Amino acid sequence: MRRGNTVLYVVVGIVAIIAVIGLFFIGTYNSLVSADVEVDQAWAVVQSKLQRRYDLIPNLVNSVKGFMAQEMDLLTEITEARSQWGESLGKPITDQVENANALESVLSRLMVVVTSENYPELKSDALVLELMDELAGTENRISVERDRYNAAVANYNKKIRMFPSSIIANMNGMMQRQMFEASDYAQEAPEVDFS
Amino acid sequence: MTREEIWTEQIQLKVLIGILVGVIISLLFVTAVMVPTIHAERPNYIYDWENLLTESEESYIDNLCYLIDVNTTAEIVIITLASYSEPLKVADINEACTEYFSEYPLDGVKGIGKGDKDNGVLIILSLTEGEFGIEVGYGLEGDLTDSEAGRIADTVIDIYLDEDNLTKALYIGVLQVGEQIGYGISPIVDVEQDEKLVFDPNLFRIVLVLGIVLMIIGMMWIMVERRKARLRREEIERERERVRNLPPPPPPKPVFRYGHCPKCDTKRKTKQIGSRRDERYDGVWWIAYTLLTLVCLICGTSFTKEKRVGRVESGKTRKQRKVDEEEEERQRRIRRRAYTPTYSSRNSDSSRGGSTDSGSSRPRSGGGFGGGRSGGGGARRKIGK
Repeated sequence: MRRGNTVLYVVVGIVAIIAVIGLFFIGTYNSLVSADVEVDQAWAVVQSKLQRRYDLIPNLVNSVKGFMAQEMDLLTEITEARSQWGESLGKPITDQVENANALESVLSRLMVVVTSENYPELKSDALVLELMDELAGTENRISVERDRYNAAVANYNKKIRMFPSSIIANMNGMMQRQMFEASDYAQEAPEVDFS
Repeated sequence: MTREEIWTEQIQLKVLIGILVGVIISLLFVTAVMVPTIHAERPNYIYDWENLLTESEESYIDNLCYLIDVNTTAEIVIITLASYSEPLKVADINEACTEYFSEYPLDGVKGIGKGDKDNGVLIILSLTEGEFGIEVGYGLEGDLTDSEAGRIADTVIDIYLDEDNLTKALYIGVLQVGEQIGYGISPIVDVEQDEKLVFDPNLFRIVLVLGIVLMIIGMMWIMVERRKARLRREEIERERERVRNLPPPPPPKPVFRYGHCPKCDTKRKTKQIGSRRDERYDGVWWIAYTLLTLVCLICGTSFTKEKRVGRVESGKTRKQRKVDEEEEERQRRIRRRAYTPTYSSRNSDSSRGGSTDSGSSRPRSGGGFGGGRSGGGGARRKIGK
């Protein structure tokens, strides 16, 4: 084989290999980015549901205040927990998660009191009924979106740690993300039952 | 290089690459299509797994759900669940709502509500477990709030417990849900045909890989052709060299010509030492002859001898005849040089081009029915007699 032909073959071979590797890199990087953005999206949805609960609480507290004069300290606790979560929005995610869980546990105590037999007039008030439904729906939404967020984070973490996409993840400095751990106290959404 | 060989080497390469790139680009454009999102109705709306309703009752409510779907594209589905372990294993009514809404294929359709609108409502009820739930899809959370859903749930349960008529309860429930969505209040809604640009990812990937493979094959073929052309060229060169370097013609052998030696009167042993061409006029014609000079080897005397060649053209002088001969020789040489063997370079067929069948069915994503999702909105109730 003459010298010129060999060089051409080798060059074509190298170009082909580089092209294949390049495509692989691009494809994997894009899928990592896509997973990362999905995690962001899921987190935004969780935040919007938490925000919904945040907006709901003052209305709720005001409507039950008239019926439950004895539980004032519980109601103040709720208001405090709510404002604490509102303030923690700029802080790192661990703080936010902690405050959200604390608020949830306080609210569940309120739900227990409301659905107990201590305040029968509460259950016939139309406004309270509505707000309780809203609260239950919101808590359920939070729990569902939290699960979906965790699923997205799990998917992303898997992709980052699995070989060979872990190489590209390390190259771009992609770190594992944290899941939304449910608090120990309130594991399920409170139910409203006025039967 | 002849003109044909130039075509083979340079232009062919460019033309081939141009054709392949053009084919790839046009194929990629073909894979990007505008797919109209078509909305159809579900095959079924009532799933009575607990067997609480008769066939006619089921179709009664099913008709209403179908009408609502036709009018507003919202899908209201009712499931009566026998247990929390069949067909899906769920922990409570909440999980049942979300799972059956988005994850469980009902009659092959996964997700309640249209995929691009998420406008579905699921009414789940289980007398065995004693729970009732209304799950509202993302798209209807504005129309049907949690408190509204709770109110409707209370209505349905009240009617069922008071009158023991589940069909009527469910029917009224569906009607009220439809009211919230806009059925019955606004006339038949004109459902717009949305269109979306779909860049089919699978086909794109296939076309890209195909294109790269074609390019590599094309380049390899080009290299093979160049090698063949080069070999052909070398062959021609060698042939010409061979012809050019033929061994020189052998020198004429010395001829022993005999003649009569005038001195010693012998015919043997005479040798030619020279020759001359000449012409003489004998009165009628010009005769060309060769005058040979011979020498006798015995006595050493030289003498001449005439050898007749033939008659020649009259009127021409010897000089002119020589000029004519030289010209003829020149012509002959020119004609010989002009004749060079040409080897036709075979141009192979370069009309390649991949053609992928892009008429295959494109996936109808987003349109049709089903595919809707929900996020846990709605209301839950416990049923108790």
